[in-house]
Formats: sequence, C-alpha cells, structure tokens
Amino acid sequence: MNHRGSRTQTLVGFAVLGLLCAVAAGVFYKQSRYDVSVFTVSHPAGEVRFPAAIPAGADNLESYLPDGMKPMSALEVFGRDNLSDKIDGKAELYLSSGFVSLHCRRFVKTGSPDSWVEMFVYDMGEGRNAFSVYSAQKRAGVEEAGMGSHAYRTSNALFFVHGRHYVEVVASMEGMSDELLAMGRKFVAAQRAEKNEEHRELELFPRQGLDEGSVALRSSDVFGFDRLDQTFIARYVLDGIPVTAFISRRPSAGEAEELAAAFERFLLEFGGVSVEGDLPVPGIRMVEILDTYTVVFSHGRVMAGVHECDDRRKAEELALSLYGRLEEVNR
Amino acid sequence: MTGISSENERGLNRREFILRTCKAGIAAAAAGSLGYLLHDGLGPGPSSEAGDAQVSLPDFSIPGLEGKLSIVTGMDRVKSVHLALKSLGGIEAFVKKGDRVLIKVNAAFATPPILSATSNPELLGEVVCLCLAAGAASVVVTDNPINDPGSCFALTGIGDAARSAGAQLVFPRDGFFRATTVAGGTLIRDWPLLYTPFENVNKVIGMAPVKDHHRSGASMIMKNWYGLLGGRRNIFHQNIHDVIMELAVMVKPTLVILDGVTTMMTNGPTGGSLSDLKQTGTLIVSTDQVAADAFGASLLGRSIRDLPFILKAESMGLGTSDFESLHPIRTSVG
Repeated sequence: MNHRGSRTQTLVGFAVLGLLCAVAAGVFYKQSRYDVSVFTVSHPAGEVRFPAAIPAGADNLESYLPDGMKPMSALEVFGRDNLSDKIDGKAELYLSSGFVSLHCRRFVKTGSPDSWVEMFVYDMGEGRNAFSVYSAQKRAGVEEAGMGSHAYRTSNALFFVHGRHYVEVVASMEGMSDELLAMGRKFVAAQRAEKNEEHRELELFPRQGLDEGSVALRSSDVFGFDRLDQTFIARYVLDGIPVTAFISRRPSAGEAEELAAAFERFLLEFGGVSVEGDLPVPGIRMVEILDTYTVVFSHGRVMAGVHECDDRRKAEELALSLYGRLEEVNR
Repeated sequence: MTGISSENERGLNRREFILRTCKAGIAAAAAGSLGYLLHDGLGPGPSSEAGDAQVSLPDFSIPGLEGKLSIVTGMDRVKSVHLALKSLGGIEAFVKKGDRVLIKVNAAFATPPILSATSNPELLGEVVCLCLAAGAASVVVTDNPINDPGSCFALTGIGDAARSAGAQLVFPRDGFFRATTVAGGTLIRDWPLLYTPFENVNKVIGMAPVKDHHRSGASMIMKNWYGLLGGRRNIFHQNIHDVIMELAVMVKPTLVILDGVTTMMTNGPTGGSLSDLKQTGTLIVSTDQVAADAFGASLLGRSIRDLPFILKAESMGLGTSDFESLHPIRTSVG
C-alpha cells in the first residue's frame, strides 16, 4: 500500500515545522538577550549623572527664574520607568495617579551658593490627577499661597496645582519665600492656557463642620480596598469629634450600588460586624470594625459614606447630612 | 473526496505504525535532550558589571555584644552619640585599633540637610572622628543613591562631613557590584550588591534618620540597607516588607545609629517641607537593628504592627521587636 501523504499534508507539515523553527529561534534570541539593565549600575563613578533622554523642546524651567537666580544643575526629566530614581518610594503615589513626566532642576541665588531651590514640575496628565497627588501630600496648618484654590506655602517650600501640573518648589533654607512665589507665579503666567479643574464632587460635601482644607482625592486602594478608586475624602469636626466622609462618582447607579455592597463585604471579611440602624437612607449599610463605625450607601451614580468614626451617632449624623446634600444637589 | 480523507480510509499497517511511532519517539527524545542540554537552571546570571562570582557579606556583629540598646534624649546629636556609646562601653567596645570601618549612610536624595531626608552630616562627622580616635585604620563612608550620587553626597553635606572628619568617601562604580543571593531569600537572588567597599572592612555601622515612607510606612535602619543594592531595585517596592527583611538578613552590622533627633513624620521618604518634620529629640544606638527600628516606630507614632517588616525580621531571628526586653539604657543630654 502506498501511505505517502498528499501534497497538502506535506505542505502543512512543512508549514508547522517552519513555525516551530521560528518559535525556537525566537526563544533562543530572547533568552540570550535578557534584561541586562536589571544588573547594570547605570552611572559612572562620582560623576553627576542626569537622565540621558531629555526630550527635544523640553521645558528647561529657566524661564520661571526671578532676577538674581541662575541654574545650578542641568534639567532632569523622568518618566514612569525611572521616577523612583528621583523620589524613591514616593514614586508609587504618582504612578498610581496617572503620572506622565517630571521635569526638575536646581537653581541658586547669585552670590549665595547655599541658597538654592529645586523646582519639580509633575505632569499628571489631567487636573484631577494633579489634585490627587497635591491633596494626598498637603501639609496641615499651612499658609495659602494666594495663587488659586490649590496652592500653599510652608517656611521653605511652595506647593500648587496648575492645570494638569503639580508643582513643588523647595528651598534649601528658610527665608526664600519671595523667590519661591516668584517662580510659582511665573509658571502660572506662562501656562495661563491651563485652568484648574473644578471638581464637582467638592460641592457634594455638606458645609457644616467641614474642614475645607482637608478635602483630598485618593486615586487608588482607598481605605485599603483595591476596588475603590477616585474617591474624595473630607474631614469634619462635629461637636469636637473628628469624622471622615467620602464620595466617589461611579460610571452608573448600578455600579455605585454594587461597589457599596462590595465595600461592606470587604469590611465584614476583615472582622467587621453589620449594625442595624434606622436612618432614612435607602440601602444604607453600617459596619462596626475595630471599635469604629463605617457607613456606606449609594445615591444615583455616587457611592458615599462615613469612614471609621469612633462615635456611632456622629457617623450617622454625617451620613444623613451627606445623603441630604446629595438629594438637594440632585433636585 | 480530499487526499487526507482517502489517506485515512487506507489506514496503516502494523509495520508502518511501529516505524512512525519510533520516528516520533526519536524526534521527541531529541527535542527533549536538546532542551535539557540548553536549559540554564540558574536563569539569567549577573552581567559583567555584577561580577562572575556570588558573594555574601560576612557577619560584622561582635559576639557577646548582642542586644545592646541605648536611647538618649536631647537635641544635640554630638553629645547624644557620645553619651549613647559611653553607656554601651564606649566606641572602643565596637571599634578596635586597626579596625577598618564602613559606615553606611542614607544619601538617597540630593536634598539639603535641613530636610532630614538623609543622614545628618554633623552626626556622621562625629562618628567618623570617634572611630578614628578609637584607632580605626580606616573609615569608609558609602551609599548607592540611584540618582546622581555626586549631587547627593555634595548637597546633603555628607561628602564634606566625611572627608573633613578623615573618612574615605566611596562612590558607587560599576565594577564595585557583585551578585549576591540572600540565604533563604526569594527576592534578593543573583542581585548586584555594592560589595567592593566591604572587601577590606571588618566593622560596619548603619546610620539612618527616622522617616515616614510612602510604601513601607517607615524608613529607618533596616530599610537603609536598600541603598546597597544596584540595578533596578525599585521593582522590590511591590514587596517592600519582604525585601527589607531580606536586607536585614543580608547585613549583620556591628552597630546601628538611628537618628530620631528630627523625625520626618509625613510625606516620606523625600519630604520637602520643614512642616513634615518634628523635633523628637532622640538618638538610638544599638547592636540590634530590629530593636532600634521597633523603638524608632514609636517616634513616628506607629506601632510595630503598622510596620510588618519589623515582625518579619524578628521572625527570622534577626533581633527583637520587644526593645524593652533588652533593658535599654536611657539617658538624656538635657
């Protein structure tokens, strides 16, 4: 009997063998070219090193200098892959908030080598992201910088949001406020096409007892719950008791409700206990965990609530107030 | 009817079946053997920059001096370190004549000393002087800041302080790294370690400030060994507590000096504002790096349960988180 394969079979066979050879060659090529950079120290000894790739036309930040200051170092530019080279463990905060790039550079006061500043311009892609990293790091008890609603200064530094940028100007010593403010104002003037985004969620927080400066946007892993992102948080003081409220706008009412239920389950999994209440809020849930009370509910596309309040009555009071505010805004 | 169908209809005889089976078996065996021969069970090894041979750091601790802890309160770092060392038997208990000492500082950022993001230069200078006065043959000061080491050592004041006190400042160089694997570790495996500065030393002192840290919760003594790693070490940030524990396995120092005179309470590890700092007025000197960090946690207002790396290091037998069990010597410089 003749059992030779047909021409079609032969062609298919060669095609399969060819494909296998190509795969083998690909594997051989890749395994011989593993990621060498993992094992490479990328800076020469003792030399000042700057990231190699400065994009053409990159803003060298020099135009924001006030009189009497000059560049002290070259421009440095960092992207998502090497931000931690500059700011180490804090990089995660930016990376999880949509970080695009960082331009930074040091400038020194003429004739005073110890008086220098470093300007950090973080491009966060969107104003919302810029506000997130700004609010996450906002210091307590600081002085407004007079450069818009999201700007403050401390004795040695200036921090502000402008458009999609989060900017830090940090001095080597106290007493350089004039220079810091001048640089900040020049930056804002130069980037005047950009406006600070108004966050609609801010108006959803009831005003009574609100610490206005405390409102912050958390981009991810809010309250340790990996599904909760893009959440505004605000601190209140009600009759001397601190309470934290939160608001997160979701894509749909269904998703807001589902996330509220998921957050309750998350708390219960970590030892929380459901608490029955009689608040006139549809679908409201209260969980007692570690001697604190967390309340969560949804209202339309908004998931909202009160987080870890020591006092049950104050948690309920703020939750009710928050619900009332959402009703009022929606009317 | 297609060719394939007609072929199937014809079937195989026994002889041809055995022949084809043998061919297939030989082909499979050949492919398997080739794969076995080409397989590198160790995976990608270190590049030439990391050297060819695996290295590990020796144990620099001094037998009989385990579990020593001194806590000094006061704002004067120089007086505090003198007092702390005196209470532990003096620097001579740790550094003998002819010893070659390495001090691992935190020079991670090119920031001014007032931000307390890096080791304090005045304290460093004093410790160098103490070592030399005790008869140390040499004192090396080193760190591997990923970004721009020249600027980091210069702007922090660490470079000047080390040199003027008589220490040798060692910058990281490509050839200074060797591959290391932490025994029992899952993260630090075949990883480049800043090794050359350790080659001729017999005493190691870790010196770090107390800082908040966005990922790990705190940066103190054990986290400070991170600066001995090369390569793209930021990948370990996803397992930060485990890698800190492995770092503590990797380095067994002679002595650690934890600077909590000024503590970075928020926005660490970089800080940036003086408002991130709190004058906590405490200096810790210890031979137990776990205990030092456990006490340091209290300066940050955190418990050891907030900082899992401390308990992980304790579970590895590297020290105790119950620093009170060491009966710390508490003094004050007023």
